[in-house]
Amino acid sequence: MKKHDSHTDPSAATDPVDTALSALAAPRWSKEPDWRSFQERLMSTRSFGWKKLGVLALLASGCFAAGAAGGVAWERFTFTGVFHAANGQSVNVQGGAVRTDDGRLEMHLNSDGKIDVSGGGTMDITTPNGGKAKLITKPLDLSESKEVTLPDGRKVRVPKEFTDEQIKKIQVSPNHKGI
Amino acid sequence: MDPAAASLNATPEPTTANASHQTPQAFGDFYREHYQAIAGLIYRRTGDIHVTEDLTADAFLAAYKSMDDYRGQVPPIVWLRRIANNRVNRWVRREIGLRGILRRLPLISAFVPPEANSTQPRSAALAALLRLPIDQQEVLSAHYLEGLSLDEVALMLSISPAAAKSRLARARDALRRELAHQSPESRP
Repeated sequence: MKKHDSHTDPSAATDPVDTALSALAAPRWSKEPDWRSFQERLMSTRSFGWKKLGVLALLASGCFAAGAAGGVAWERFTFTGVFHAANGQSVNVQGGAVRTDDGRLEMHLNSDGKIDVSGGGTMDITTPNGGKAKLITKPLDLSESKEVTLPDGRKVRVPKEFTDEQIKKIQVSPNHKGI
Repeated sequence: MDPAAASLNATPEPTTANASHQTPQAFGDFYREHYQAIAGLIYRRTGDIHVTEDLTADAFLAAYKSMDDYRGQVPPIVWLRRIANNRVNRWVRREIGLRGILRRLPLISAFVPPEANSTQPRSAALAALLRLPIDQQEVLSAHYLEGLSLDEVALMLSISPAAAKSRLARARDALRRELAHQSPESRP
């Protein structure tokens, strides 16, 4: 505690008020910041939008493991769910997500049908351990994506910046006919 | 739907004068930088380690949620202290109440250094402090427990330095009365 000008009086040493205040000021908090616990608290907040999810995924910063509040381990998870497109169409989805080194959450989806996602939409997902989340996706700008042909001949659309190496890793459901 | 790999980047864009705290990475640094100060502030006023952990997380969560509203009018630590202070005030008013506080006081002994005779003075002082009106608690806490100057106290409480000084004087008088009231000599 700083010394205060109002207490330079030598008699202050015996003032019960100063004695009490000194006792109150004495304790120091020595515990280290519990960043992980704080992250879990953030994760457990309800009704976050896509933007916030991205923030939370970034906050996870490489140390977040399965079992987080809400049941979703944002570092890496698989999921099943339903995508509700802005135009009213819905489709069942399954996929996985992983946080990349640059902090983005990279998500791979397969669906059991074809719908127009260019207007964005929402996706209710459930992870294998029972975790649930709602993702809100922004409208997709098709000019930011490109069409590629997979080794088996099927065509899919991927972000424009995807490298050949990333494209090779894409896992597409054998039931899907491509675009 | 295309089975495309959707690469989703949702980093929020800085929008205020103090944009550095609005990026996730910066908020993590902000949390680590100010955690001790905020937890210490809360602990010194509540005397309960579990309450401190809860309220500290609440305070940072509230700060995180209101980042968009923070316009840099006051330094970040002042803004954060205000939030923490409000959390403690709310705790004192709503969740514990005087009876609850008094019941909890024995717990303080578990969280202070085990030196002989250190527990009683602090317990008695905290009991007296928590019996004061909230505005007097916070001014005493800010000035004497956190070591803020009168100008800093005024900034944190959004009052003038003169008002802070007079509130502090009233609070000291009130604390003196409370301490006298609970001292053995004053009991019949």
